[in-house]
Amino acid sequence: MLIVSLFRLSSKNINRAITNHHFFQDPTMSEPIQNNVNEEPDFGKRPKAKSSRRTFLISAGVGVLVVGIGGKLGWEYLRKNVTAIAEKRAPSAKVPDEPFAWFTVNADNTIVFHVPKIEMGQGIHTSLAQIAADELDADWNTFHVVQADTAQGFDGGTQNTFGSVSVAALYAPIREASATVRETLRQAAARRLNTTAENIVAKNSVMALRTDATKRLTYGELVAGQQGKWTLAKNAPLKAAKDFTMIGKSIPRVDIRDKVTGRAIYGLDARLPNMLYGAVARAPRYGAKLKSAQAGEVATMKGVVKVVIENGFAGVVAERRSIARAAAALIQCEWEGGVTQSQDAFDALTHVPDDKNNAVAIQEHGSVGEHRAERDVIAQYKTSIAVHAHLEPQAALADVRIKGKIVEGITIFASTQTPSMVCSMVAEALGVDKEKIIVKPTYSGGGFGRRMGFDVGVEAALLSRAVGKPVHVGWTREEEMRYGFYRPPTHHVLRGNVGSDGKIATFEHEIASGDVLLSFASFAGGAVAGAVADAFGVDPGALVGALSEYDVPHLRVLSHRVKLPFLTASWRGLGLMPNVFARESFIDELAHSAKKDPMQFRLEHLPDTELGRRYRAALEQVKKMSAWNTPPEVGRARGVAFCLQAHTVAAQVAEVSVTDGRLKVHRVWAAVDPGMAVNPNGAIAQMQGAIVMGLSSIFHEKISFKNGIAEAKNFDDYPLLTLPQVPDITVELMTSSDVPHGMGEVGIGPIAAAVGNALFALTGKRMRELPFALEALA
Amino acid sequence: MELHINGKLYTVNCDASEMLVWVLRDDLGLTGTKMGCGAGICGSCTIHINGTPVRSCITPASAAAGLEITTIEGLATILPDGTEKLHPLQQAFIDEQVPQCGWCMSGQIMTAASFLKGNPQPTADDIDAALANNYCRCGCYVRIRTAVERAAEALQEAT
Repeated sequence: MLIVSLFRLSSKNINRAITNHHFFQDPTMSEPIQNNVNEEPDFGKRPKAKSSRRTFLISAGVGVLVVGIGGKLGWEYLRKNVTAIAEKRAPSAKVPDEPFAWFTVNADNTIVFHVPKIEMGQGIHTSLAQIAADELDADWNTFHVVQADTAQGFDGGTQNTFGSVSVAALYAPIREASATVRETLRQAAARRLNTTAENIVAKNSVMALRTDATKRLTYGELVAGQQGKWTLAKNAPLKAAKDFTMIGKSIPRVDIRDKVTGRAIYGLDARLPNMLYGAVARAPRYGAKLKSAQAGEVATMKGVVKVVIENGFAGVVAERRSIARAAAALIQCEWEGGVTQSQDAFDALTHVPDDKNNAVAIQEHGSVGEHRAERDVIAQYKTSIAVHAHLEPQAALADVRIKGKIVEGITIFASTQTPSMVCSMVAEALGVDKEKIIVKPTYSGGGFGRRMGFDVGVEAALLSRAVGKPVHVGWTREEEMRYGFYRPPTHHVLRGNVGSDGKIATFEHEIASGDVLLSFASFAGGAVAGAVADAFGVDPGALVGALSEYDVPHLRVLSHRVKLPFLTASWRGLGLMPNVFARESFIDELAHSAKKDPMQFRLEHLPDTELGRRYRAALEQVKKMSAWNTPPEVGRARGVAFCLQAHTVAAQVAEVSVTDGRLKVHRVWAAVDPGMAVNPNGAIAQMQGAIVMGLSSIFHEKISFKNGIAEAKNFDDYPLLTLPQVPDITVELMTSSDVPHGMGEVGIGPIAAAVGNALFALTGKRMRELPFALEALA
Repeated sequence: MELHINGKLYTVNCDASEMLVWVLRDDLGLTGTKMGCGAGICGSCTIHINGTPVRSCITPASAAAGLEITTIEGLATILPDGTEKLHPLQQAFIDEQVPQCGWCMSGQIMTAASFLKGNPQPTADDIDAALANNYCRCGCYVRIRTAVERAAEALQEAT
């Protein structure tokens, strides 16, 4: 029999969290001036909840990296046979043995749901809470969603938020945990009411006698009435879909009121009493190491508290943020090494080589070599280096508490996608045991892959340790543009031909991409990890979206790894946008070479598989939505593209015009099959947002290096798409399953090809670079 | 210097050149006003000074001394019974479920609030032009457009 202490009754912190309706564990402010994330740092007061090693299969490691393109597979499998990956499902996580990691039930019948995943705009707090509240039969009005910190008991990687896998991976575990709590409470109610569990009905956080609803106990009363050990219900049944009250409904998001009133707290907003501000000296070249530094006059500047120079790091703690920044820039630093090249060098590196010896075939059947033909269509596509441009700069508030010279504990408030990575990196940088560190994730002002671990939490912790007070570090936009990491540049060579039967005979796609996921190992993991990464030879992140969906007899997709001297890594969708842009534009080229309607051409090349049927359904749906067979008004044209990512199928049609050489995207229609949507309106928002982000890459986004540093310093050099350029977007969701798939990224896949294909239909000009060479339209 | 913010008087001790966004956020804890670029481009830091939208990241605090500053925290009305009555734009942004990450939203709403005062019956193109210099990286633009239209209607009905 499994016995655990199931419920922890309300603590002061939780009550405060409830007062604030949701979110922070130790939140803030009814009066703005008291905007402290944590009036009394609670490190050490709260026992660290331990969950069993079996808690989750999803944890940091190789398996996770592969989730991005579809399955829990080893590297060797990936290298040898990626063809089937797209059809595999994401690994399912297991329910924790201790559901109290998820819930706190209070005597007043409020329930706190400790949500492990980070809210960075994707609506995950709401979606996961819907799942929990539904299966728990909880009263939504008294159900509070609170961001879990790293002491809550979720194992390492569970909190890391990436790859559109949050809902898919946690759907079953949360339902199982919730059902277990519900049935445990039902059994307790049966004992208290002298009946059996079958006679108890659960609804709105109340257990009532089926035959006499006046005989009832709230969940809070049940918990308050039984302190100490609880025996968990075994094999708690899950609800049937027909009984869902929350799952599948467009429940309003739990975070939005705070986000329109200015109350929501992000990393850059985190405050503690007596806090100071930090800034770090930056190199003139990317990746240059600090050789030596002299504080000089900076140490005596008014408002400077301390200049911190240690182990290749130079920074300033000051009373004001502006003083810290000005002072950090004045530290006399000598730098060595780092990047010296300019953009032409990186363009030359990012190139599909003639030599195929180091290429890895990630998808291959038939024999493309034997079926090349005179009539082959050959085309090259390219995508640029880009930044994430999340609008909240990297930010962390570190509170390192020291007694004598010993670090007693560290609390870090940060907008991060990877709290456990922050924990590990701070532990390593400060030489402190991880057990002494609590990371409290805040809301994130966008993430898009840039808030993976890294830098700012470590910077704040080093500075805080030096002064023994809380120190806040918030990056400037220039730091964001120049000292973070980048979306890798890619180059694609595609070759294929269509036979006399109108069917594609051969299709080849060679991809050269900078690293996406291996880079973390190469740059952050030191020489050994770098060597291991080299041995893999293929970066699974760069290959998201690389597999061809089409039924073609002779097909090959080759990957070439491009090693760049600056850090390229995760960006929304990873390889999805470049790979789908290249393939779906090239399929359009093949369709035109065969004088076929591009929509019909796609429909004629879909495999007769379950996936193939989902592709067909999505394409037929978007065909209908866009009235594809009815020509658009004069001066406009439409293009279509589709893709698969995180098991979700997205098909899009774009309608464009060109006036005075200027591209205008008027409409985008999207048909999306995410299996099923937990929150349909939230899923639609993700599709709309991903389309807009993709359009921004079409119109604008490009980073270039000069003498080892990005040329762009701010948005004047790197503009984003704004409202006047945004089309009407119509999204329809389709249901094909009883489980949800990913929604955060898939929409960014097809849009560039859909718009490019429309432009070709209109003008005969083919866009083969991201951003588009729009000057060619003039 | 003395700053009048959301109907309250604050005394701040800082250099005259200190940018208003940091005085609001770091000195006064009014973190509802966000910072995105520090160069007056993205619009996240937009506040009102005497009713006019201003980029607080490039406005020295001293330039606002003695003037009426309104931030997102001061946009709603607190009724006599203590409840918070949201500005029609805030309500419309909730009704249309506009924000994703939310970082730009204070700036979007403050920009739109000033705009609707001057143009209570805007066309879609008017709205696009009014918000053309407010970035939203999550791409909530379609909903921003709809929410501003909705708020305009609500304001019309209220008058």
